[in-house]
Amino acid sequence: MKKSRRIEGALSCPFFNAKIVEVESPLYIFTGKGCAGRSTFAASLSILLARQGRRVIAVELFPLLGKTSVSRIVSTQPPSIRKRITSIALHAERVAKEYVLRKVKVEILASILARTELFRYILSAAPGLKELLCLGKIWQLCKDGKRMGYEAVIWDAPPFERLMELINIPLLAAESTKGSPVYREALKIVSLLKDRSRIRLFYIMGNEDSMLIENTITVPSNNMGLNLTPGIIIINKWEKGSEAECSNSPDSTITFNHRKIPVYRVPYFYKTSRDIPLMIIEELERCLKRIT
Amino acid sequence: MSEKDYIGRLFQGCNIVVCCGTSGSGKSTIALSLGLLAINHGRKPLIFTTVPSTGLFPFKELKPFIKEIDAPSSLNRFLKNLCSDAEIYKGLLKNSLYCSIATAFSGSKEYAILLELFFEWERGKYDFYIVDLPFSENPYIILESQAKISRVFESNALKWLIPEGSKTTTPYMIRKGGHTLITKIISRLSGRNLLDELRDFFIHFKGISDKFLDAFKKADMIIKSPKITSYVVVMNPCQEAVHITRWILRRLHRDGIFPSLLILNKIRASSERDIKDMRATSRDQRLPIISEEVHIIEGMRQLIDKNTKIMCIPYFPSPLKDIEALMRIVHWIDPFLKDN
Repeated sequence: MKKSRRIEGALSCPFFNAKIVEVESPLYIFTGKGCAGRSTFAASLSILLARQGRRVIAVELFPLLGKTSVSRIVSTQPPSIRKRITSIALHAERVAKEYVLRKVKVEILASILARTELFRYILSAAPGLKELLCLGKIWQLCKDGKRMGYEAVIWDAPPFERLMELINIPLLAAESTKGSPVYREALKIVSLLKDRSRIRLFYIMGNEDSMLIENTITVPSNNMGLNLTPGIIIINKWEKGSEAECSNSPDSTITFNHRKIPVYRVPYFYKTSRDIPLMIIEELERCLKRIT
Repeated sequence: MSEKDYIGRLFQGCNIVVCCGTSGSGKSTIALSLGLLAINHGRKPLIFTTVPSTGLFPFKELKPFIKEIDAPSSLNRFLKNLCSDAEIYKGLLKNSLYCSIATAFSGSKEYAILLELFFEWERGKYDFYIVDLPFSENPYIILESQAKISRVFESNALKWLIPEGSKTTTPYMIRKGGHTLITKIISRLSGRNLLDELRDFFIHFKGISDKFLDAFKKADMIIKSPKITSYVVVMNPCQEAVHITRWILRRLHRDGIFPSLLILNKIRASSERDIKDMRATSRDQRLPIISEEVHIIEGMRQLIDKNTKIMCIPYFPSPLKDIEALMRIVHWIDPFLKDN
């Protein structure tokens, strides 16, 4: 009796919980066609969840402009919303340093190691290592999200084709990194991405690509052999039809990989750049309500 | 260059045109349209693209002029030409790191395009080469490819990864001890195989690295020469794309490159009148008067020069599923070329 109580007590402590519950925070991925509005939707979901009083973390891999797109969009929001949204850019060197520190556990040693020419050389010369580390970091955020105070992880991901390449890297690097902690963590993100119960993949595309919807998803997906299926397809910047028709369009599902995927149309909001997130948030809320 | 050689005049006599820009801005469409235009103007173009012809652009008419780049096969072919010893070539193909580089490494597509462009340009079978670069960081990857590859093959760190001979001096021994420790920690974190494969890759590559670097140096000279290569920057007027385009222009500017053509694609006009205005202003080579777009161009003024032509193309909501659809864009560009 005494023993079982001790076990119960141990299981309820955060450390054990983290080990038992594989992923604490759900992962929302926003991918699709380039410039279709991935970042806008990622930021809108962050704002929507923040309005409900939840704390979220938005991540972006190797942003070209240093600052993440989500942080730029969120910056127009009031401080009460802003403080609940953390936006981080994953830069390979910083992630690698953090990773080494987590594993080596001695800060001085980790920082010396990260500064050495050989370390930086291996990081840049070994193909896929940077991507592996960053994928591992996303998994880490999902795993420890709640302990860190985040209820959701939002990934403003690259365009779908690039995302498929990125996810494929751990599989390609399997032979050379097998058995290593880097590989184990990256493989977990791949299994997480395939698990529809723990992730929600939003595929955002433009109006002009809507006729080619099956091609844009199936070609890269089949090439990689991953069969990553979107959870929701959003056709953004929709022009035809009135706003009332948008979310209740008769052709609002598509069959892909023997699954019916809901398709939503979000109208194009012309020349109202400052208000776009607010309008998109309303549309997104309506989409999510219908799914849940 | 004849008076009627509009393409030659627009691109200042260059016979290589690189289309770069943000993702989803319409780079591939513009590249195909320029190809179609070049054919109409009596040129023999070759379009390099990574977009699968079976996927987004099923244009049979343009097929003989499109070179679809498949990174692994391009890089393999290139290596086969470089390797005089078949054993070295087989050894490289077996190396799992090389396989990753050829298929999934960010930049492998751009490197493959660069090499294919260099060989085709040297062969001279075509008189106009159009490069459709994938993804938005593309100008960075191709402009820095030579420097990046040189850094990898000529780095000091390489001699610690593959030690040559041994010295007995104290400073050398201390450094060697330090590097052995670092290597051990890295191999614990990333797996021992990764470092072994990396060493194996460089050992196999040693004999051909000079030829490899030489090809990239020549390709680098071609794409940075204003007499040979001209750049077309394509953007759409969304906020994010504007930020990234500025970044692209700054990167080109760092190498003294100004694009010959800056295309504002997918502009949504609120009325028919706006479309007419846009066509008129694009032809006059003045700023477009659609107020939303004026500040976009103004913010980029210092990153373009007087020879850079600015062109606006309206948004066409239906997809590019046949050659007629592509012709809509060609009809938009053609009068612009003649007027400029």
